[in-house]
Amino acid sequence: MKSAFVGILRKKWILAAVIGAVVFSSAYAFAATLGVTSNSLGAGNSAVASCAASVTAAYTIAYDSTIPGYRVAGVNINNLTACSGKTITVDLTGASNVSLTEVTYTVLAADATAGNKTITVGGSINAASVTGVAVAIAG
Amino acid sequence: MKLSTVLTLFVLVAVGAASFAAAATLSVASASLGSGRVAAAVCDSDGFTYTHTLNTSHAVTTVTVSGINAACAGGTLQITLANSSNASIGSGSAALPSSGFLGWATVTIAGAPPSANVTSYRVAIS
Repeated sequence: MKSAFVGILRKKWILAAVIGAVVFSSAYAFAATLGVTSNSLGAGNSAVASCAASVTAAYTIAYDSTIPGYRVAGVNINNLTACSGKTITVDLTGASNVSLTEVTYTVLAADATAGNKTITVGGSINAASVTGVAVAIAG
Repeated sequence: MKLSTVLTLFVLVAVGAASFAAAATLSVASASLGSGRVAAAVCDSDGFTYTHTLNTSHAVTTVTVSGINAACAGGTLQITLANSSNASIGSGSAALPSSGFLGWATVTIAGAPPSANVTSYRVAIS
């Protein structure tokens, strides 16, 4: 019996098939013991690029009698040459870095050509209360 | 090695390669993103001094703003003259020179506001 079994195993194609069967059955065994269901998931890595290495924010102001004083009327963002179609988010921050207002704008091709855009800031944001600005460009 | 053996091994290798290929094709593309934050610099926080000139109708024609910190050089000064309701009745602006700035600027006022109606000056430098 033993010699007959060894004889069969010596046939290499049977040995290869047995190895293959063992490998696959092991794989299914591991999968079965995992017992986790999930929606499809893919993972990978990609470098996050930005269309502008740096931008400068400059303010435009307008008098507002309700303050009374000057409010921030707009924020000009430069270095937008490569940012057509991207979305700019600007937050004007005040004391304790609290956002006083947030505005978003999608850069038009004309803005990219011009290289800069003044984004309108609504409301009555007292210019004197603005202590910082945060800018994000995504898309 | 028999052909059947070669075929079996080929199938096994092919299955394994396909598994690796499936993982390799899961490429991830990322949208661009950039963000940052910067403090808004305040060039002057201790107030200004104002003097004005009037025309023969006693309307304000110019306002000279002095006591401006040197850090404001290169900026643009805007001034609004308001009445008791805080409504704007006159305004003007002046560019502060980047070099040779002496700490004051004279602004021509549009609107010819009667001096008797001016209750406050509102100034901003940006």
